[in-house]
Amino acid sequence: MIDILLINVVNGVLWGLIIGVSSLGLTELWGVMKVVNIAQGETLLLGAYIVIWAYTTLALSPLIGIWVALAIGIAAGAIIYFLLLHKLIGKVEVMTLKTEMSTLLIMFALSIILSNSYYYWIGAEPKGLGTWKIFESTYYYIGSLRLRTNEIFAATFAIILTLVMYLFLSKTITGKAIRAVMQDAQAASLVGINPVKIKLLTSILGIGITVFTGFLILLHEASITPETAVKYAPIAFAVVVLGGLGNELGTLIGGIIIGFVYGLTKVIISSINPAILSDPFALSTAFMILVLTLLLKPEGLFGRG
Amino acid sequence: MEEGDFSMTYKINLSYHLKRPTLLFIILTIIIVPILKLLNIFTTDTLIIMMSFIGYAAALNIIMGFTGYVDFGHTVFIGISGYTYVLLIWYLEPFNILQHFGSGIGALILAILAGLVSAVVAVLVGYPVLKLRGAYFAIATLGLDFAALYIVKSTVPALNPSQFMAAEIVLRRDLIVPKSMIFNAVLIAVSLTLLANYIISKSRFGIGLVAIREDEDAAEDIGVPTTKYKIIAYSLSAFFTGLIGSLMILNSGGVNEGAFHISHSIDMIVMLVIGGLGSVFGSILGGYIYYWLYDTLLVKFPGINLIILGIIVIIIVLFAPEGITGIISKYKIKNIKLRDLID
Repeated sequence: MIDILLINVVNGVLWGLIIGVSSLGLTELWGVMKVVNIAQGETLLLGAYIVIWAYTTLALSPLIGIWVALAIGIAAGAIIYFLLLHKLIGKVEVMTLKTEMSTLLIMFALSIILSNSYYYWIGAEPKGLGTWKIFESTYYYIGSLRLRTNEIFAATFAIILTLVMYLFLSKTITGKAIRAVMQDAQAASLVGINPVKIKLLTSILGIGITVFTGFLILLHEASITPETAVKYAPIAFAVVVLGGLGNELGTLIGGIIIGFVYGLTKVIISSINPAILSDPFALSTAFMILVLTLLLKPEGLFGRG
Repeated sequence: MEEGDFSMTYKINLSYHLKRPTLLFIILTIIIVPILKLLNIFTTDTLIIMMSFIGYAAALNIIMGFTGYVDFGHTVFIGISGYTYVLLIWYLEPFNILQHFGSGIGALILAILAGLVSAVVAVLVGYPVLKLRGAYFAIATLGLDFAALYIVKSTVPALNPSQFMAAEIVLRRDLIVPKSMIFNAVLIAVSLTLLANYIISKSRFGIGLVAIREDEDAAEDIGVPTTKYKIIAYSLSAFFTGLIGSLMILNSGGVNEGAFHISHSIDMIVMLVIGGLGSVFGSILGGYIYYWLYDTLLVKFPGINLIILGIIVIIIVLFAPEGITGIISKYKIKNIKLRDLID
């Protein structure tokens, strides 16, 4: 019993690191620009599909493929900003409910377009890295706990990337400018920060990081379909709300908490009533956490970044 | 501002309202559909689906159009009411409710019960969430939809009366539900939704909602009880969505977790955006246009039909934020402003 509990909780936390780091882009976009990327799941899948494409058609190792994904993600961020967002938020300093609603609808339309593009051009069948077994082949044992190499890799990657993002946003001039716009766009433009430039940069950063981390979803799921987006996007919202908008470390910890609760619920439910499918039920806890956070501490556990 | 007594405002202004073009348009819509059915221009099934589209758009309009709160998870109420409805039929059908009150009234009564369940859920969720503003609500509705989906997926297989392993509950095989019965029930339900929309749009309550949409701080300052109004709007919207949704579940002969699928939300939102947010006329127009568009695109561009719809939504949001209603209301024919006709 203790073993099962330990395995599930550790796996939950490892998964939590992945969903935490993959929500970094969302938290930047939401925190700085007040744009909620409803297409979060599809953006993640874009990264995963690029890595698969680079591996199967260009024969590039996924470790190189992620950099291709990052490059395409940066381009996508710029395109999304100029094509979809600039007209709505480029010149606006204080977002009204109406502008916010328009950006929500735009991002929603983007998610429809991306998701149906995947169905049409890639297909609904599961895609994966198939023959690429580097991460699947070896296991580490800690006591009775068996960990797959790919999970350890994903967790390390998640922690390093979050720290890099955190240091970039809190130590560099550009990062501080982004933070300044997040806190008060009007005051920021008074001291000479160009808000349009910062918004473009945020869009590139937010979309780019999301596409970059799509690979981790692939590591965890082994194979993906366009429907995978539907699982990951809503969880990312829960993670971001729990961790606090624009708070990178908070987002990672939010991910860990949700992953931990997920693992714990899975064990509890299957020991109470085996007839109930434990996996979907455990996923639903993420949304209970979301609603509870909104109810009790809407600014998130760790406040804004 | 004191709370509105909108039933009174109506009685006084009945003659005014009967001259309103939108109300005439609603009545026309309600009358024309049975005629189309009698003339056999469209099949009953087509008309049921077309009516339901209009009804969904009008139901979502209450929270998203009037109040301006984007709701991505509205399909949760189709799911909740759908499951309630099918379970109600399973457990109440020994009393022969569907058959006893033939011609659709029985189906409608059960659908109202199922809709009420949705309304209660909406109040429970709306109470905490609607205190917040903007995107939080959109996110919370999405979360609600997925929470409900995952709970249904995990628990229904354990307590499914129709003896299927999956989360699909089908109606009893011996139950005969004629299409004309569903047609009548859907027609009444959609008429109720449209009339409610019209009543809200002309009431003090509706004006309060529009004030919230335009500037929530200002609305609160002049005394609109914003949280209360938002919760009422959300639960009304949930009720009508559940009402129509459960009848559509009856139409399809059973319910599965697909009722919670985000594609229903896509339908509703696209219709409303095309027609024009916050306008009763717009939701009817959006329903008709979307049905036509959906049908044509599906035939002519199978596979990429939704991609085209997504692009249409982006173009409308960027360049014509008030939808087709907004475009129409800029023009006039022979000194009659079209704006007046769709008011």
